[in-house]
Amino acid sequence: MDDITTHAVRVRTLPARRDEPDTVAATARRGADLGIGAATLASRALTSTLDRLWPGSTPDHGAPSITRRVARAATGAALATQSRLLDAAETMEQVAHQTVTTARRVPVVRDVLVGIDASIDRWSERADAETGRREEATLEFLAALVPAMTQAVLERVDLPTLVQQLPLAEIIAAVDLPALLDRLDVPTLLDHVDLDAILDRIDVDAVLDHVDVNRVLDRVDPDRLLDRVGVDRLLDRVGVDRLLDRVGVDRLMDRVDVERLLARVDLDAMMAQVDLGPIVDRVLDDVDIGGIVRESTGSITTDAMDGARISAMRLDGFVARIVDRTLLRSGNRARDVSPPPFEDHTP
Amino acid sequence: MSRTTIRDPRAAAAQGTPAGIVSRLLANAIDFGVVWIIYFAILIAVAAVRFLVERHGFRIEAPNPLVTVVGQWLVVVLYLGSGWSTTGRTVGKTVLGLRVLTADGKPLAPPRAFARALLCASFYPGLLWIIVSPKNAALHDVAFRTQVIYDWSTVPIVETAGPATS
Repeated sequence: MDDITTHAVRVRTLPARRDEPDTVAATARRGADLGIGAATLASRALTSTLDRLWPGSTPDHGAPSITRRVARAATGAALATQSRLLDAAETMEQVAHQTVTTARRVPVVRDVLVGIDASIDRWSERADAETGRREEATLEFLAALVPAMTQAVLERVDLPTLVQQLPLAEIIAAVDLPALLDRLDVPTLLDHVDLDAILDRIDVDAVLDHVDVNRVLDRVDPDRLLDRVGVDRLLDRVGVDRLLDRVGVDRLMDRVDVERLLARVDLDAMMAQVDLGPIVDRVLDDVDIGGIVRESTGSITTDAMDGARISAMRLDGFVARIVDRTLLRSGNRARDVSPPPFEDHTP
Repeated sequence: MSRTTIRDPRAAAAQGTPAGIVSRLLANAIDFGVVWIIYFAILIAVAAVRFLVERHGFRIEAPNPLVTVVGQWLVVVLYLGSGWSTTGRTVGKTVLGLRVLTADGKPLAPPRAFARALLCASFYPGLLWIIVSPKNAALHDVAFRTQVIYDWSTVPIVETAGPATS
């Protein structure tokens, strides 16, 4: 019973839309309209092409011939007939649908129809499955075909020649760069750029040789540029060490005119801004000049006195050794003398 | 202000040991010079007093030899005795980095210091006993149980003298 109930629900059709009834006839009408439209366009294009391009023919803007007029008239009649036939088919389809709907209310008929509906549903499902499988196969085929075809086309296209033929200068002249920059989301763009990889591929020296820096700088509005560039984020992404490895610092310094650079620095103005008074005071506070003088003179005196004392000490030892040897006395003299009471004889 | 470092390692090691003949002779020579200066100053002072009293002709007169000998002997005793009994040093010993102590390492009391000075000033050759003495002792060291050591420290003796260690 559950099955029957389920199928009874399934066979109930949704009410058709008023403006575009979902009937076979309506679908056929749309298909026919489309086909006829396409055929008409193709026919017109073919005719026009033959008229213009066929060797020896001249475009004829005069009145159409009788044959063409008849052909057009026949087309009109055929279209009218097709429209009528489709109207009739649609009417019949709607009547049949209405009849089935009405008959379904009779229990016996409904049971029969339920069986038929179940059969129809099964076959419909089978049809859906089969067509789905074929659709997938076709899509796979196309997915493989399109790249292959694209590759084949690209292989046959002479890109350099094509590029040479492009009016690049005119294209660039036509580009509204400020507007383009306004539309660019630079930070997001930078997130997607692998700067290190790009830098690896750039021959910096060769680029610098070709760049007229002054001309570039003349065209740049620094404030606007800096406003748009997230400098911190940019620096985060740049491997500074790797960049420095690639930059020939010596070569760069060779190109820097230091004298000219210094000539532009206003040293007087710079010094005028420095308040020397407090600096000198601090230096004098930190440096104990008196102490330095005392220490230096004291150390000179001490050094001289130490020298004299050490010399006297050596002579003491020398005399003592001679005397001890003469008297055949062994050992160092005065070892048993008590140590001094002072503790600051640190070496 | 006290000295705390001695850069020469051998000098540092010799601190506290008895001083030899050369150091002590040099110190005595300096002291002899100092005594002469003091004695000359005394002569100047006497001349000044005489000038103030007699009011004519400022001259420094050389006293007769006996007065000179006795006077200088007296100056030596007073000079040496006062130095040894206070800091254990005279000017000469200060320059040479020496100090006079008792045999057991204490500062000299004034009586012993002046008695030692008396003997020293009366018999200079007693100093030569240092040459043969195993303890670098002069005759007055032996007589009064004193010693003269290398001591480059600048700490006053009254602050640093501690108990004897031997």
